[in-house]
Amino acid sequence: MSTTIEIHIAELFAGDQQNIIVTNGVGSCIVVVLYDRLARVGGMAHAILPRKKDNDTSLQFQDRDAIGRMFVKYADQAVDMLVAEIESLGGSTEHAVAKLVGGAHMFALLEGDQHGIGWENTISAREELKKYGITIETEVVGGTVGRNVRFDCATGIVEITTKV
Amino acid sequence: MPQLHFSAEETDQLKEFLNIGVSHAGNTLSEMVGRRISISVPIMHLKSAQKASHFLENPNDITLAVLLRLSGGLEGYVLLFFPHAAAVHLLHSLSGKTIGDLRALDEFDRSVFQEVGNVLTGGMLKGLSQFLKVQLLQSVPNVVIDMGGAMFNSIFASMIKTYDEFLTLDVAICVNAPADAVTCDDGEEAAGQMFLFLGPESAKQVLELTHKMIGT
Repeated sequence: MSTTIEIHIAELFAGDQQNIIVTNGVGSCIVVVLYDRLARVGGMAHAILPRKKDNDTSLQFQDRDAIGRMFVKYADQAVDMLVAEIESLGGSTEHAVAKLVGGAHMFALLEGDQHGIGWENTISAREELKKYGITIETEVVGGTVGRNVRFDCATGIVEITTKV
Repeated sequence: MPQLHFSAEETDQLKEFLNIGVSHAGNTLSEMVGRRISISVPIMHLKSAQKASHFLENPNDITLAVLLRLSGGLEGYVLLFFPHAAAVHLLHSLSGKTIGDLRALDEFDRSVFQEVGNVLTGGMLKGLSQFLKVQLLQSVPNVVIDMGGAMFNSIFASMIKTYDEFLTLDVAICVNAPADAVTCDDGEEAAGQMFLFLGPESAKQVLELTHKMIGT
């Protein structure tokens, strides 16, 4: 019997094969999924911005809520936290693969350029994963559409829903 | 750590500021559609990365949004937000066209909503410019049809990139509301929402200019 955990924008959750993690309303945000197939543990983060700033006091927020969700703001921070979470659950970066979803550019006038925050989020997540030597197995990023994401920690399968 | 704070009096002044703007916007829209327009009492929220979610009751529903950037005396965004049924009804009111699904809008239909964005925001900014005695400018409207949650989260990300905290003020706009209506209910024919997103500096500027105007 699996338990479905919903994470919202700026949240992260990691679990084992008992868990299905979902998140909705992914626009320019980037959803990072990390999964260790051997240990069958994985996590998902719904990050807002590309790179953490040293003077950001919100980085101090490390508490978990009642069901184990954590606060996460940046794409690079999301990768670091997911790696730590998976290792704490018995997984390792050696066997982990990543999947990236989101990074869309929904409103042309936001940011006023061709790429916007969505693109920067995607680049930041890719670069941080590269530092750990983690392969990106699948990417469904960019474009102009919103996405919902469902990740099954028992299989590593990620389902993506769009509505346009 | 969130720092932005407004007193009860300042909160009232910011809500009144939006009231002044949207009453002008409502009159302009009323002339455009030839119907009675009613507007609800404004609601104000302070948002930060820690208080990010829960903008909408049904974030997965298909909705229509018109986004405009504000510049000049104030920096921010105006968002007009129409649930599916409201957008379909408003399109019928304005163009006589009936469609079953918003995702089937053509270029003409989109231009109708762009015009709604121009008229409502233009009406609002005209009222606020006269009140504050500052020049307020609006961008070309951007019409997007998608899940409401994804659209709000994208605007949220853009605001959070610039500000640690920001302010949202919103009102419900009802087309063809009953004459005695004081709030917008589900039963009314077309209810959209108008959101004003302001950074801390712009919110403080509104308060300073308002103090000057009313001599406090």
